[in-house]
Parts: sequence; structure tokens; C-alpha cells
Amino acid sequence: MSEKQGDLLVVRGLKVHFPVTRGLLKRTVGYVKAVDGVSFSIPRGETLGIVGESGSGKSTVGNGVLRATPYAVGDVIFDGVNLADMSKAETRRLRRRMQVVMQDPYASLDPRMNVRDLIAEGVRIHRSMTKAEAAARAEELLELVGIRRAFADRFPHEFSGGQRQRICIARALAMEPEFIVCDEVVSALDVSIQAQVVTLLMELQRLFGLTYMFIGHDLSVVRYISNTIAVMYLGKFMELTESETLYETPLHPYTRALISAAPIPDPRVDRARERILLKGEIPNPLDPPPGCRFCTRCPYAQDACRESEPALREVVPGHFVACRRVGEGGQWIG
Amino acid sequence: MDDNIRGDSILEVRHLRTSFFADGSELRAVDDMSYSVRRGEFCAIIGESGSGKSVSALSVMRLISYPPGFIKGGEIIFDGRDLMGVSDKEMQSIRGSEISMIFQEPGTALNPVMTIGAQIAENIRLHEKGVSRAEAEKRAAELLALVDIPNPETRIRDYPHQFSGGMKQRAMIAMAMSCRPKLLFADEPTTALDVTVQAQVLEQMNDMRRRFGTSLVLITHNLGVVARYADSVKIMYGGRIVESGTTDDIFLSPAHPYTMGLIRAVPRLDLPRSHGLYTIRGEPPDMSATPPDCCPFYYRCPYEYERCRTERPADEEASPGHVCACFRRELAAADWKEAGT
Repeated sequence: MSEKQGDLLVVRGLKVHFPVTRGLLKRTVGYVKAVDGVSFSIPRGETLGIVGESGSGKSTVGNGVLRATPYAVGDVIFDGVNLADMSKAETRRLRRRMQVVMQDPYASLDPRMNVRDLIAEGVRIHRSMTKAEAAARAEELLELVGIRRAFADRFPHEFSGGQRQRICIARALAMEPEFIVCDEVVSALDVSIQAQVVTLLMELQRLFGLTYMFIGHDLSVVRYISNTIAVMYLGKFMELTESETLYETPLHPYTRALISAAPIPDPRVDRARERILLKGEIPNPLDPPPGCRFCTRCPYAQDACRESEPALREVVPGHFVACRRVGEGGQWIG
Repeated sequence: MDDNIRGDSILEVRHLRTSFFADGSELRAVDDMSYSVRRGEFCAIIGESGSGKSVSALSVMRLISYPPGFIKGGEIIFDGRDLMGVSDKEMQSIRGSEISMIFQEPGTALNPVMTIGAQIAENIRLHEKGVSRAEAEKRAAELLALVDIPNPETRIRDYPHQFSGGMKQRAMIAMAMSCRPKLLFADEPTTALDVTVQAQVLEQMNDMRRRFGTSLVLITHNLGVVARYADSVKIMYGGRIVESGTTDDIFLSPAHPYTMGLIRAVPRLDLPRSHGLYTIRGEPPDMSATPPDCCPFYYRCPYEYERCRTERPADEEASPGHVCACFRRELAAADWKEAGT
């Protein structure tokens, strides 16, 4: 994606290759190329959505950007500073400005702390505040995410899944971040609660000018909150464009299959639309197919697709696609 | 309700009540639920977590263990017999042969130390006496082929960990269908799967249902996934069915405010983002704290008034066969129509 002046985050050529070791001496016998060269940028105050199936590497992109994995290679430039050039102490200071909210709110909250303390802990890490001040700030944050102050003494297990996710969001906000990675934050929630949490995240973005990377497997949810969407498959971007364009004129066969699989709660619309049923499942990332990574499941694959890998190219201004059968201007090569 | 289709129904549940008892309090998981499933029908039960949808299926299968669970009352008429009066032994032979079930987590439902083929063959031999092991294995391979498992003759010798998530769920479908059951419950069968695999599995289940003439009850929290397949839809909330009707009734002219909320809460890929995302306020009810004589949805409902808090709404027909339990359904339906959604 073309880099611009107002970008908060610029990522160039990010790769995360996990070594696979065997035997007593932990000999490296291969690599799982979870993320295999992705580049993108996110303007301040906007949301980049990353959509993909399990094993596509979408969460690893988040970890790579946050430098939460030692195997990340490539440039991650946050607010003009390259994370690779920073010392450990500097990185730690910067990490306050970059937060993450994860899928499983059960696992991310200490069960023995009440929610006021859980949030106050974050507040006190970066602000010199008295205990009482931090507790008051924690209650403010709880209210902001829609949890009543009266519940501040309760423990994580006393809340429902949706409420716990709100608490995790409040905890991230306690650090006063500029950038939040939202990794499958609504996937484990009921449909009616999903809508609540997505709406909350959008409100907070407006209030604080937050920049998000929103990772998910459900295109209809991701599209809702994102300005731009990257469709990921086996460690690479298949398509990258503005969110409305992605739905209106999807170019990659994989994107089209994802759109056709997304549920639409209107039987008239649902029965009438294009259906692309893919064969099989995502291949093992330890042994990706030669050529285009999607060729084993693509209904339109030709011999050339199995021989060499197509590059991600800009076929229409702002619309990037990695498919040999999409020509300049985005027309389908029959 | 719907006494008129009694003749051709495979399952009729009347006033089913199942509770769980813990710490001296009662949780009414299923609280007076009545519905019927016709022969060969694809019926969807939609409900959020805690709505009682899974417990209602387990109750029909008589798989509620006491304590803490207890079926307090009701009738379960399956193929002309009341399952409530059937002995445990008889029930065991009905389960797996006449009524089958598929669960959300195929990984935990399969035996990890038995090959896939042996597990399917075991089910066949358990319910059909006189089938040889070789014959049962041959049928297992045929079933795997029907659910599109490549090289079924060799894959029957695989263990569950050698199958991917989607393949495990397809093997579960094969196993559930191995005795050509008359009724199949599928409890969130695709929730743990990737979107593109979800579509495959749903398509396969529907295919198998048609092939074997099985009635299917699909239980899910996402009503978007059933719009294409289901013949009828039942919406569950707080242990009861609050609305039921044909798929078109439910999606095109919903009568219950909860159904309307659920439909609007699904982000629509086919509409512009400016369309907005509707949220149902509040959280699902705690059924150990909700009094029985009220509408369980009242405190989340935009139409709620005095009566909803003190009286339980009865089932009423919004149109023939389309039943809804809400005092304000006419008002809500008029608003829905006006909004033109």
C-alpha cells in the first residue's frame, strides 16, 4: 500500500519464519513461513482489517508488528521510528503506545484480581499516580467501556464473555495507546454481543483518534470496522484495498469465495447470489504448494499458477491483487 | 401449537422443562418449550449462549445427567412413541440408530485412540446385528466418500489427529448418518470451522439429509448461516421458543423484537457500511434469577412495557403457522415494515 505522510504505522517486507527443530540437538529441519513478506501502512486514526482463515498467519502479523516474536524480520516503522533500530528500553517505552486485545478474554485476565485492580495496574505502570487516583481512573475507564462502576469489585469470572472483552479493552486503554491490535476480539461472542463490542471499538476510535489493526476471520465483521482490508492466505496478502471496493469489486478468487461464504440473513438475497464452494482446506504452512499458494483450492487455477508465484500488484489505483488471472485495470483474463 | 401437522411430524416436543440444580437454586434451562419437526424437514433452532438450545436437544436424546440436571416434565413424541416413558436400555438403542447428534467440537467427540473407520464401523455393528466387521468397514469407507474425504479406503485407517478440523466434522457427519437415522441434531456443527469450510460442511449435511430422508435440527447462534438451507426456524430465548415459522416468515416478516434484533445485528456484507450496525442492549438473561412470570427479554427490549414484567406472553399466531410470544408484536411488526428492512 502506498505510504503517505500521515501514516502511524508502516510495515515493509515483514517476515516471520518459525524454525522447526528436531532431535536432541534441536537441529533446524525447516521453517513454517507464517508470514512471508507483507507490506502495508495504516494512516493515523484509521483501521486496517486483516482477514484470513486459521493458519493464514493473520495473528502472526499482529505479533510481528508488536515485536512479540523473536523471529520477525522486516521494517516496522511506528510514528517515524523503526522498531528494529531501538534498544530494549526504548522498545518497552514504545510498547505502551501499542496495545493488543485478544480473542479469549478468559485467558487474558488474572482470575484473582478484581477488575478495578486489573485496570489500575495498567494505569500505574506508566503514570505516577497514587493508588486511589489509579483506582478512580480505572472506574472511569470501566464506565467508558460500558461496565457499571458498581461492578468494579467483581472478579473476571463474574462477568459474561462480552463484558470480559470490554474489560480487556479498558485495560488496553489504561495505557493510553495510539495503536491497538484487535486479534479476533469478537469471534468467541454471540452475534448480538459482537455488534456491541464492534460499535464500542468504533466509538473509542472516534473519541481518542485510535489506530487499529483488526484481525478476524469473518469478512462481514472486519469490513464493518475497517477502512482498508488485506485478505491473507498462507502467509501472504492475496488482495489489499479499500474496504468498500473489496466487497463491490473483489478481484481475487479467494476473496470472492470468502464473500460467497459469508452468511446473509435474508433468504432472498442469499439464495440468489454467486456461490463459490472451495475444495479442501488451507494447506500445511510447513509445506506450501509451489506457485500460487491458493492454486490447490482455486477453481480457476491453470498450469502457470502452479509454476510460479504471482506478485501482489496494483491493478487499479489503490487496489492490489496477487492473481495471475487478473489483468491491468482489474479485468478477468479468461 | 401446530397440532395440524401432527400426522407427518417425526418429533413433537410438548411443554418440555429441564432444570439444573446447584447451590440450592434452580436454573430453568428449558422452560416450557413446545415444537415439532416434520419428516425430512431442515429445522433450525437459533439461540444465544445460555438460551437452552443445546440442553433442549440433549433432553430429547435423554442425555441430561441427574444430578445436577433433571427433566421436570413434558412429552417427547418421537415417531409415535413418548421417549419420556422409554427405558434407558431402549433409549440407548434409539440413540445413534434412529436419533443421532453432531457436536460443535469434533475433536472431543471422536475417540483419539481408535481409527476413524473403526469408530464408524463400531456404530454400524452396534445398531445392526449380523453385520460383519469387513462389511461395516466397507460401509464406513463408502460413507466417508459421500462426505468428500479423499482416498476413503486408506483414510479409514487414520486416527482423528491425522484429520483436519473440517475433515473431522465430516467424519462425524458420516458416523451420525451411518445408521440412516430418522432425526439428526447438529449442535453448532460449523462454529469451530473456517468460513470456507463451514460452507462445505453445511452443504454436505444438507446433501446427506436429502439422500437419507433424515429430518435435521440445526442448532446455532448465527441465524445468517441458516437462511439458505432451513425450511423452518425457531428462535429461542430464556429457555423458550419465542418465535417460530417458515424461514421466510422469520427473516422477511419477523414478529418478535428479539428476532428483529438478531437479524439486524448480523453485519451485512451486501449492504453499504453506512447501513449501520444494530445492537441489542444488555446481556442474555440469567435463568436462575429470572422470575417465571415475565417475558425473559423485557429488560433488553425496546418495546417493553408494564405487562411484560409481570406476565408471561402466550403463543399467538401472527399468520397461519407463524407463532410468536410477545404482547407488542403488532407494534414491532409495524415498525419493521415501515423500516423496510
